[in-house]
Amino acid sequence: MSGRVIVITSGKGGVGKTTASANLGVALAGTGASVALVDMDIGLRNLDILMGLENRVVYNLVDVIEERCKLRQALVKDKRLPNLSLLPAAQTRDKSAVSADQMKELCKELSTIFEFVLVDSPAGIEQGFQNAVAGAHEAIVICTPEMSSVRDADRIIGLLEARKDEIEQYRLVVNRYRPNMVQANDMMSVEDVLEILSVELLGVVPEDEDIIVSTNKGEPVSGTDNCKSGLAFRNIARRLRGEDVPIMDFSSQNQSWINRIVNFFNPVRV
Amino acid sequence: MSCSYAFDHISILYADWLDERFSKQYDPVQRESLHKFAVHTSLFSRRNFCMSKIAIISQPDQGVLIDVSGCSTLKEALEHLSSTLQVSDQFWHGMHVSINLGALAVTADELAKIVALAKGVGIKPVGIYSTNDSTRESLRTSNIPLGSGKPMTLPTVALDSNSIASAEVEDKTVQKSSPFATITMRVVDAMSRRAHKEHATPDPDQLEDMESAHLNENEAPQSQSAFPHIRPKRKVSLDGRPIGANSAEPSERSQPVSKEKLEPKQSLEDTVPPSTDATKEADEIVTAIIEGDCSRSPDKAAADCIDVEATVEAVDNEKPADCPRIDLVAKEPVQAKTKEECNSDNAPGSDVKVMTIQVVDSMIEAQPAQKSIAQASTMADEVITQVDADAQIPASSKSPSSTHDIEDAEDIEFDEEEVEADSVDLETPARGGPTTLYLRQTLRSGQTVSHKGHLVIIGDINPGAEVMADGDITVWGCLRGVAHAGIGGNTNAEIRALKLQPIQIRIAHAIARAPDRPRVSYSQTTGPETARMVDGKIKVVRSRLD
Repeated sequence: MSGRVIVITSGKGGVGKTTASANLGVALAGTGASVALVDMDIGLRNLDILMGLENRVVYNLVDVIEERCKLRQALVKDKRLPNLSLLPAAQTRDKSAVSADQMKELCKELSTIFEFVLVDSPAGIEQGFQNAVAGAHEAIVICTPEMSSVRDADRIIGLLEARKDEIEQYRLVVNRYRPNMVQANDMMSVEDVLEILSVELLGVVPEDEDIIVSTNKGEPVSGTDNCKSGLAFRNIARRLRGEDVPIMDFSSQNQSWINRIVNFFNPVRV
Repeated sequence: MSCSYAFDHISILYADWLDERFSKQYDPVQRESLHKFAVHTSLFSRRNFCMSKIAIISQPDQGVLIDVSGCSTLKEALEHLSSTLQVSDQFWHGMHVSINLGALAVTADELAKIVALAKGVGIKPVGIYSTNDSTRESLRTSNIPLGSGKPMTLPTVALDSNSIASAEVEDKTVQKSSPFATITMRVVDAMSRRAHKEHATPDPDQLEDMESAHLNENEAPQSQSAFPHIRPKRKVSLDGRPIGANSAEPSERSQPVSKEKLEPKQSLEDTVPPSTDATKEADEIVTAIIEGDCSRSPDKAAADCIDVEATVEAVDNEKPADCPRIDLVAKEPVQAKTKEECNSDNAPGSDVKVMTIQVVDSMIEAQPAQKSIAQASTMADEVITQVDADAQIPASSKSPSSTHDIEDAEDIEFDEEEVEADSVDLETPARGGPTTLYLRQTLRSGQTVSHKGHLVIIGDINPGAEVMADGDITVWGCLRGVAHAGIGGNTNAEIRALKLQPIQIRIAHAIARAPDRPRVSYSQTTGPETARMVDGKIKVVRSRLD
């Protein structure tokens, strides 16, 4: 079996790479697939905190690469989902501790064990990014509907295109989307973003306060019901598995409760 | 003034030999800052300094020389260099610092990296020494001053095993003329490597929850000693012995003379545990030290470790198989054993030498009290063994050749009877060494401190930071990161903190993790707590302060 190695990247920091990685990991594992999450942000590791696995980390990616332990020993099993594992980054080292070739090797090894290997890339386009991308077959580019983020995503897509031999497919996730701001013309719409980037859209994740709560708790939102960002991540996971799931319709979510009641009685307006 | 400091991979030496050779006094300011640095990094351990990859040498008239020529690759050198410089940044300001790159080939870009690293902690190297032509060329192109003259190197004591007797005499005279003279030895590349390899390696699979312990102070197992002792016990006792002997005066922390001389701002008493009164007895100690040739490559050094161990194994095999317990007072003919080691070490293919040096020291202090229970003495030597009745590190049932192989160690089965029989732990003194590292700073995420000895930190350890020590870890502050005490396998090591809220606690081979939900909010105080190993499990108890 050869699993899919998917790198989650963005160029710009703070757009939700790590959050997306954790949530997609949980969502994919929720569909029954075996998933490995690899934190490539060496020196600034966060993925373990988001997953609530911080206290279980004994060995890390650099230990594996420097052969201080076996891969199996470094993989931390998720608390809730037995088919989800995390390979944490080293906190006490930096990006130069790993080379692209070593990452390729590691991703290859992981893809023989897991159906999905999600690599959480660090921000930037330097060695950390190059390492993260090295072993990947697919890429998910995260961007928020802001000019700076779109600009950086454009740059990243350019770099990914340059690696056509290795990266077969790259798709876009628009994160922290605020439909009501879009409606008021204060934010770029998904269409605007797509027009600039002209790339296949994988999903749109709305801005959600639950994310902050879940980050502090160490329980990704996609593992919990009744939360729209969680649903969005689950939809993306299903799309990754090849299902045809329509992009979430936000138009009904950005209405005040009075409008909803009006719409309820006046369905023609919808 | 003679002291040497062991700090992880670093050795610092400013010693009598400098005075003697150059007949120069140190500049008082320089002296004081050197001393301050010494207090910051490590306490005095005159005999016990491990020369490994990098050395810091004080040159009376040229400032401080950082010697990285022991490193085989630039990456390694940079790693060691950064750890050296960062640990001690407050020290470096205003010092004349030169760097010896030895034969390392360094490009101009990489040089810039080194200079940037130094700049980060306030150093502008006054000169960089190199014997490599391409490096010299890149030095020239990047306009960095080349060190003038020859860089100072650490003195080597190159004894061959045939001349042990004369070495003893020699050292005695040195000692008589100068009671505080250090035997300066280039030691133990091999030894430190071995120590590194033997670091307790917890098994993540064995990770259990610490929650119960936190809720119930005296009960509840958290985690199981996951690995059997990586090295067979007997072997430890044998090749541990020389080092143990070496650290027989483990607490020679305060050196009255040097103290007076230097009048350090930071009082030494701060750092000396109360239990270490100087006995002021002249003791004779035979130190057998595995002499490693520092010029050889790390791989070779590792190979040599194995050679030494194989040797000891051979010695082991000659003993009856069913006597795993070591007598508390070992009357074994150490001399003879040493010879055995020497003989086998001289076998072709091995360049590890064992040398025996006799030392007279009038300043020996009491050993760290609670731990050393037994002394095994023979005519000419004194071997301190630490006996740990509680230590239940099981002997490995595997062949010694697997001892470097963590993967294999994992599969070793526990054997209860063997565990019972093998309750003598000689390893602690051997590697623990006497030194205490005293740090006055808060460790932030990504920072690590590891020390062969006890570790005292005045400050917090934040999440993401790691502290490791061979002995105890004491935190006067909040421990929120990862702490690993007894990395050499010392199950008696303790971790204590004013606020014990760690992500993980590791003692020897056992590992315990924090409960998944924080027990108390960060602001809430719980009072000082101590984590120690009880029956192979880590327990957290509230400390009583009466």
